[in-house]
Amino acid sequence: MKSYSLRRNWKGYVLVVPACVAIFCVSIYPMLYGISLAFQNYTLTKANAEDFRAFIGLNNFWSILKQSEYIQACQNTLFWTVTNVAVQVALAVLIALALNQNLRGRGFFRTTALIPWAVPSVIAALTFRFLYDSNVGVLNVLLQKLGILEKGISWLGNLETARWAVVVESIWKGTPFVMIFVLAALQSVPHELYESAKADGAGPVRCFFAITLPMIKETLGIATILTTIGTINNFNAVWLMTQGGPLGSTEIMFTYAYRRAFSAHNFGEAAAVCVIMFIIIALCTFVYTRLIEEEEA
Amino acid sequence: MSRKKGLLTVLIYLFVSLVSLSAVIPLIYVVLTSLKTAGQIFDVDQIIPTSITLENYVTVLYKAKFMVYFRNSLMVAVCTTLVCMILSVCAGYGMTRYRIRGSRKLKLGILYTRMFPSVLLALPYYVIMRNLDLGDSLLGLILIYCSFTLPFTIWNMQTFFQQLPWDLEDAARIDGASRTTALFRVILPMARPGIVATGLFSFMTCWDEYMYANLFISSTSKKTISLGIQSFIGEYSTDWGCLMAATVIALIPIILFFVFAQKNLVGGLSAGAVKG
Repeated sequence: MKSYSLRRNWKGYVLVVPACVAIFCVSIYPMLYGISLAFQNYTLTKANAEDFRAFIGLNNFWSILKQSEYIQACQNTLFWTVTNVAVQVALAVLIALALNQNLRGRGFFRTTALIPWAVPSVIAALTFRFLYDSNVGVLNVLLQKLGILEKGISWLGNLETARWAVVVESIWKGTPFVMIFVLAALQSVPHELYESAKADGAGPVRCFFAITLPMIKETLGIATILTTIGTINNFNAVWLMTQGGPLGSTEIMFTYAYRRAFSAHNFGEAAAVCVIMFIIIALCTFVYTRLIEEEEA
Repeated sequence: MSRKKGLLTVLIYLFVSLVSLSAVIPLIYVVLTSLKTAGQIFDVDQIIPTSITLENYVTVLYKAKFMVYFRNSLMVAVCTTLVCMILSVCAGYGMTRYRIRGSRKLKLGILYTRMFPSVLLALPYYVIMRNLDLGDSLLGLILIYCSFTLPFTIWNMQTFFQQLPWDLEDAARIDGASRTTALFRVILPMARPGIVATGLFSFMTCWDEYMYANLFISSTSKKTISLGIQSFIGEYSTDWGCLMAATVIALIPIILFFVFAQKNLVGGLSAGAVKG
């Protein structure tokens, strides 16, 4: 089993090659194709023009950098990612810490806390759209009944509230996933550590920072990276609730690329945005691989 | 000291109850709404309805083409999952049990393909699907769905196979079992939770997919359930009752899976889970 010789291992290649060919066909080839579009003049509405598909170097990149909508989408992506990741990770740690206690009905609490993770994202987004609705949404109805609001607010149609409303949905949907990770890590912290710390007179806060946090550091890192990637790629939440509106206030890079491609039909520029996103995500993935190697070591 | 501890316990119970409530309430409200008439939905005093109706479900099931959407989604999700699982169980086994040149790099490559922003693939697929004449077809959709499920299933199966106690296979072979027998009698039963969890997760991802379906499917008879649900949102008015009934129906397979595989799901996925 220790040699790489083809004669001993040919069956392994027979097993692995079909999957590799499939991955190449459905993922890698389209990806390379997609990246190549970023360097071409590829506007579908001008498919008969002379310079269609001509190689234009970095022109697509320069032209998107000049668009104020793109800059806004970048800023929104930053806001969207940072708020989502910060709140989700912090909240997940709190919930996991609570659920790791010896509570009565712990199984029930754990299962219900996981429910949003299992709900399909399309359904989650449309549900929140319903809760936020200015006429029938229960949020407005309740706030009006309590006398906090006089008239219903269109939470998703309002410049000040839209981005927060979308973030709340995304936190609702995303936190349980991080929580699973943190809970698993918490359960692997040896109990004796806490007992000896308690014997030395350390309080719960001190215990958390001195024992728990260092022990779950790697897991937190991994969960943070995965959440970051998931949030940058979260098209469904934004598109199904606001389509990037009002006035581009919830537009993220993903929806911007989508709009450039399928509303403006400018595939070249859309691909350029995608390539930038891809680089950011590849960097995150690189950190992620480092972290899992560290955890395995 | 003990009073302080008691207070903390109360706070913890309050906190977890709040978390559970906020997780469940939106969904309860969805179910309640699906059981209301149009008049009740707009009635402020009927947040909790005094009488219920199944009218919305009847409309969704019989008047709208929801059963067609349901069937389409089922077909796309099942086919994609089957193809991906067969490929990735083979690949996972091959990568763990044989020495493959460059398999480390291969694994890393697969990880990167798992993280692609899907819009990066949507552009080339738009061109490719037109050239292959697979634009408005479920087959085309299955092909595209493999682009995000396959990297996930291969990665997951590979990590899962690596953690199995392979000594048992060797032991079986020393006892005279062939490699195939050892595989089917010893390894596959142990690998089942991982295979089930990965397959279910792949199914759920396909069931939930919206972007590609929205881009590529145009005819009503080929719509998937995500598009079907969304079709209740009109430009000027939305039939919330039907929308919520459709949502409940779309949730059924997910709930069944969750109940059926809850233990497998968390354990089998934590090895290499990715955010869905």
